Amino acid sequence: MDIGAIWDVIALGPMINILIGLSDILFGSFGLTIIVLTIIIRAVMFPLTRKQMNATKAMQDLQPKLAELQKKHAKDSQKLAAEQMKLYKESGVSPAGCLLPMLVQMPIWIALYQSIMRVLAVAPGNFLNLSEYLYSWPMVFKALPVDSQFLWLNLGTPDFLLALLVGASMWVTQKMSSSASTNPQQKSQAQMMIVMMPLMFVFLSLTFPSGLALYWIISNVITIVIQYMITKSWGSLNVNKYVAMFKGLLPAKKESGKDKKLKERIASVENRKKEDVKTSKAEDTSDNAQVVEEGTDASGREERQDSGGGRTTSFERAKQKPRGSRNKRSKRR
Amino acid sequence: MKKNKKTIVKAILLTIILVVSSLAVSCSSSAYTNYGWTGSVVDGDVIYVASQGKITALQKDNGSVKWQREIEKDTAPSSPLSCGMGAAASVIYADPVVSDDVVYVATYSGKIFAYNTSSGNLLWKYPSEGYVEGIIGGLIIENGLIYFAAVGGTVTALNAETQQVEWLYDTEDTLWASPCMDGDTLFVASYDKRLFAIDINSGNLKWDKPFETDGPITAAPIYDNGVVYIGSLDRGIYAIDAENGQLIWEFNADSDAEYTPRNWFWATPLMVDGVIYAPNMDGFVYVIDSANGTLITALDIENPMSSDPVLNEDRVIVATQNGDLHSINIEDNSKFLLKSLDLTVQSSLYVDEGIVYVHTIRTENLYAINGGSGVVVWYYEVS
Repeated sequence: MDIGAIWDVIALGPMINILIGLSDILFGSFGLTIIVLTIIIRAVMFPLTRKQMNATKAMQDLQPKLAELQKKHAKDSQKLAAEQMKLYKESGVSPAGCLLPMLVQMPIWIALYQSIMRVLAVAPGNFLNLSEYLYSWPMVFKALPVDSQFLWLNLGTPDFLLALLVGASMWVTQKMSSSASTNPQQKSQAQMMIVMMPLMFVFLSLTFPSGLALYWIISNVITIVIQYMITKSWGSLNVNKYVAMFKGLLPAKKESGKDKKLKERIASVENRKKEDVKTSKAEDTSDNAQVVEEGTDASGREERQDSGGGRTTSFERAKQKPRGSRNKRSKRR
Repeated sequence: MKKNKKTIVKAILLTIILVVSSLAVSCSSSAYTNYGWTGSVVDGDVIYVASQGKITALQKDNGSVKWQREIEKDTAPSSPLSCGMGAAASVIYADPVVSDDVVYVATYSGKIFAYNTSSGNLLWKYPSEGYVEGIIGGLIIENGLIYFAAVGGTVTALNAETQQVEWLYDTEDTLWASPCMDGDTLFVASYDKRLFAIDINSGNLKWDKPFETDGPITAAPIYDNGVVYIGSLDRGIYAIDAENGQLIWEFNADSDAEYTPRNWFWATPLMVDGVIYAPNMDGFVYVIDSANGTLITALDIENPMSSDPVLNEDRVIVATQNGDLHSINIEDNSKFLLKSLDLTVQSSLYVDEGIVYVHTIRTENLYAINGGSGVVVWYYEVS
């Protein structure tokens, strides 16, 4: 048995029959089938994904220590590598652990791509090959032909919008998982991955059937959700910045009467604060004048002014101190 | 800084390799190549064979070329990122047809070409500009009209003289199978599991509703004595009343039976004296009584069959996909291996005066084989 035949038996055959069988259950919708299959695959792989994300988080936590090691052994790369490995071992972190789920998913992608090409074949020459993979389940024979239309998509052909969505979701996952490295080389590598990976997947999505792109999008969305649930953070993705940007793109909201009243109240409070500050300024200026008059010469005044951070000036004090304390001081005086 | 640059260059190279290799995999795999297949037809002393991008007329006694013509290349628009680059040789699935000194060829891209049988000159093409929907099933020519079913679902009656459309019926289904005609009824089976009966005078449906199976239909229907028989990819053979479209009997997969179809009936079954010979993709030929649909016997051919069988005197000739030709005696259903070609056979067989013509694909050859002895009389390298 050659490797192609083994691949057909263990990967392609099961994938084709599961897809067709699922589509029979899911009202003949192949798009829905791909979504459900993706969820099932990701659920099965969850322990592996969790392990990967924990490994990624641990790697991020190790970054300061790794930076220290790099500083310490900058001139001895062998020693550096040994120390790094030691650190990984001590911390129970495996750098390969971050890549494992990606590697495990590779055969799934290939099998899914080959299955889609066969199940959604538009020409008899390609469709005929499907027969050799079919199990003798009655549902498999009755479910054909599957419906290649899903939303606006023909799942057997590439789709531009879906390719962009793949790129965007891939960018988010990359941003979330990239660590804030202190090493410039690692930093530039991470930056490049953030750009190159989505670009590559956009290109692949424009080449392959949109059914595969649909798998990638759903898979990325699941990754984003799991990553957020495990790490409780968006990683290096500045969500607030993008939310603000997005809000900036939206047309300005019309003010309601309630909003107006609230704004007026805030403005009146602000004005009152400003007036208070002005009053305190005026009081402080008169205080200073008194101090000078009470027996310091010009050089002494300069000395005091030059002392900089040693003592705060009365004006600064007035700014820093709350209104209550100023009142106390006044009382003392 | 230098190290960073090196890493960037490495990563870009890696990405390029990944993209190029994935493109190569997607384009080069034979599983996704649309090569087409087509049979041959004899008219007088000449056999006509269509192949990817050309039509050839050969002397049937020795295989010498009478004439050969390039078929206009396909220029149907394709995705800028698709594997095809610009114009490509026409892919042909439909068998060529000869009528009134004209040989007709229909292409998968959606064009019909008419050539003079003597000179090989192109008489006309339809449509003259652009394309209709792709054609996979064969053409039927009757009383100066060409009937064809297009992939997009339309059944058309085209005037062979004027190339004007006489009528057009939209089934709204995908059509891969060749139509079949009896009297004034055209039977059209669809990939979307249905069988239509169309009145050729009006172009309207004859039955109240189309007959429905549980699987796509790729084989042409066969008509015999008021009954239409169809094979389906749901692993069933159906007998339908040609008058009203009602089911008479069905032979279907039955897990309790000793012999039961385990795969598709892709090829068109052959009717011989009230007995149906139905080759299956599971490697068996199912021999069925056409009166009641009972299984007479199942003959183990051991390899999948997708080409239409033929009758040569008292023998049914079937071809497996891997190029084995088997001869089945219709008297006692005994069989023997007639010839092993070791080439892929998917197109329908053709028989004339005891000679079986086999058109192989991928390595495109046309073989003339003695139907009794299996001796290759001649072969012609089509490509």
